[in-house]
Amino acid sequence: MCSLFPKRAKPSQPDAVGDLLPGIKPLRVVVLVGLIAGCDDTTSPPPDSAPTEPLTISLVEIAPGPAEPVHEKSEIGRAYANDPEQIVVGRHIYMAFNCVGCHFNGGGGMGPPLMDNQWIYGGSVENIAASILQGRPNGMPSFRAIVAGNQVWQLAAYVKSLSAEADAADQEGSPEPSKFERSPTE
Amino acid sequence: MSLRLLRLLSLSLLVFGLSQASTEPIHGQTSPNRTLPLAPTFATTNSAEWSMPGKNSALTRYSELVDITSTNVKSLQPVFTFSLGVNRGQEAAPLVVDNSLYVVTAYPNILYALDLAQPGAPLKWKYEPKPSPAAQGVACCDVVNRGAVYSGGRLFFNTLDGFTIAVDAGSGKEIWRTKMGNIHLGETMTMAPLVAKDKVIVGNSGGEMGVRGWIAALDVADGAIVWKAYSTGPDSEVLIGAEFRPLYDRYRGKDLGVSTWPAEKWKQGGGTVWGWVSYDPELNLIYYGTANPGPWNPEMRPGDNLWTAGIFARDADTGEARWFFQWSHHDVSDYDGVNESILLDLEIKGEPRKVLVHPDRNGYVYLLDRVNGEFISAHPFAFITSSKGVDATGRLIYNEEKHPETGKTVRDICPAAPGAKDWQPAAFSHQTGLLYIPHNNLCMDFKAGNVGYIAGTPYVGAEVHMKAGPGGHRGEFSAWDIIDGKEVWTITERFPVWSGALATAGGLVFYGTMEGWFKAIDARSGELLWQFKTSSGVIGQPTTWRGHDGRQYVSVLSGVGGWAGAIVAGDLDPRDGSAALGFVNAMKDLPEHTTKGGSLYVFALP
Repeated sequence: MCSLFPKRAKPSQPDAVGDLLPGIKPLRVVVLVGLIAGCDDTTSPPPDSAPTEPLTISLVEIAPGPAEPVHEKSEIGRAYANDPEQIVVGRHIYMAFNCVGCHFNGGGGMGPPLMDNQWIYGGSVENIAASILQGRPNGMPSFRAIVAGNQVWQLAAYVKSLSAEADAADQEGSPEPSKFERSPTE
Repeated sequence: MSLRLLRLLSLSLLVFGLSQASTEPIHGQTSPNRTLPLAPTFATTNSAEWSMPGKNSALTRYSELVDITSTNVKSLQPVFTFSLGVNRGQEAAPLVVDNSLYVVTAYPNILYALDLAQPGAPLKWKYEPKPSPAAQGVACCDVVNRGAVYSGGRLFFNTLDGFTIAVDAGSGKEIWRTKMGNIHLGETMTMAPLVAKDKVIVGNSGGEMGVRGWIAALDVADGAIVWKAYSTGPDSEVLIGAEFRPLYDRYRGKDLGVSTWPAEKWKQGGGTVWGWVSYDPELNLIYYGTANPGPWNPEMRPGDNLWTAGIFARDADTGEARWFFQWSHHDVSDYDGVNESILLDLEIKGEPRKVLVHPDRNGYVYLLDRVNGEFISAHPFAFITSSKGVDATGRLIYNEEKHPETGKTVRDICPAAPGAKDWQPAAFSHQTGLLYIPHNNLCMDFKAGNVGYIAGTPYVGAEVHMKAGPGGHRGEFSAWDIIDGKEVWTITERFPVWSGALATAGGLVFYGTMEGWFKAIDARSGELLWQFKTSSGVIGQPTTWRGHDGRQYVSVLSGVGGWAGAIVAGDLDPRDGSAALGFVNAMKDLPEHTTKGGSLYVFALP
């Protein structure tokens, strides 16, 4: 696979994700990390599009009156979530934007775990992308200003992949837990 | 090398299994015919109340009450409980003044007043500061609060989202609030303030977020900031001036808070002030520690990284620094220097000295002269591989084999990142002259990596996996001989002893465990005399006081959490050992032993 930031402007710096970011302004971060997304020309990337806001997909499984909650999935979300190459790129973005500092390798810390199958704000790739862009009230920052273009889909695809094991375990017969609530405080 | 270290080494060198906790104390010996250390006169108030977390500004956590003794403590029983309505780690101390009990919860930092003069201690009032929920996302290690302080009819405390607030103790009405921290930069506030004369002393948290540490004094009357001193940067902002008279050359020079860092790195250099502040009213000096330098990866910040991981003495009125001493220069293991410095008077070689005793995260109990900052001694109180001792001037001698390298996993660094002892405050018994230290027995594997600074996100640069130290237990509660610098007895516990300690004139010491036991121990022998199982793990600060009916009561919060208990408080996933900065790896079995909670327990004799 390709290296991160192959064309970055400061070759004298150590060649690592982190050191590219100190002290630089958000826009610069976008440019640098933007290189990640385009670094592999061997696969045709999924469509380049940010999630539509407000997203049409619902966060909850109930809806009042005769209405049904909207469970539709987007084509773009499905495309990224099923593309291992995009998930790998998503992991690099996850490290570069310090997502790892709060969620670690999926077990959580300052932020909730991502490797289980409990999702406070929805576990679809679309829900995860929306959480990344919008932020969430109990501590999730809004990353809208520093993720650009399809990076949010790459990130969301990687985050979704962390819970694949838990999802698989579920399908092996354990009853489906609520994916919409963690606890009253989170 | 201490006897203690020899004993630990002989147990088994770096064999980390898990074993059952043992409550059989292990005894050392003390020299006969010596003068015991004493609490300074300003700390011997003989008050039957408990108005600040440390009991007095020397932070001895000792009560002169004698009703509950080693003989009758076996009959101690709960007399009432109170649900805090918050299921996160409860680290605060219940305060009692004028027949009211005051306690502040973890986020959302609700301040409760209970009426002790009424049967069942009903709620008198509650004050809700309504901190921003977003603050939860930048608090490194659970959303704790270490307590309020009472002074002059007011309660002062900090909120997670960075406000210092004064509340009227009678009515529960807010008197003033001052914004001190900025959560957008990752700053939170978790420490308990200290009142020194007419000033409230507070500091910030956020050392894992690239925050620049500071301490500040606010006017008790209106919350106006009187002075503010940073822990890094130019002398003018550290409040280093003509009054600064450090004893050692390494602290002398212009703007060392800039020049001991790579260019500009001091701006995200940490040195936060989230621990304990003590105060000597006779010298008019406050004492407090500065936290770890950031990021954790030390290769990103060559230099001594002043003024982090050390202790400042400052003039309480002006904030001007008087002296400084660094526990861990160029810290490489997240050894924040914020642990309590307990102020004592003792004789050294026949000469009376005003000293402070400080059990540091790096594993040594330090004795310093609190007048001039002179190093007196440092003795290991835990198993240490990260350093080999200190030199004649108290400078740490690092073990280069345990020095982190970017991209390489360095194994078995002891103590682990939370240190031999984290925030959990020790107590000094004015009666036995011993220090009672709740602490950890943890080691870690540490893989440093590069990290970029993005304001408001973690700035750590390390992947950590913690584990039990030698013996397999993860916590201890030890009695410590301050003059000889050695352990007198110790009790091993399955989990880190994350609660504070309390000592009483009844010959007792109290502490809690993360399983939820609240224990009374014979202060001299270390014998377990009484224990009560509370509803959740205990990580709070026990206090004792006389009620309006004349009886002695003991109070403590139950409610597991904090960094050590984050796996339970935050529902973290045990499959990822690196979770919660690597603490989850050492606490995977905690969810089998306790659940979330948040309750006040009050005990008395029948």
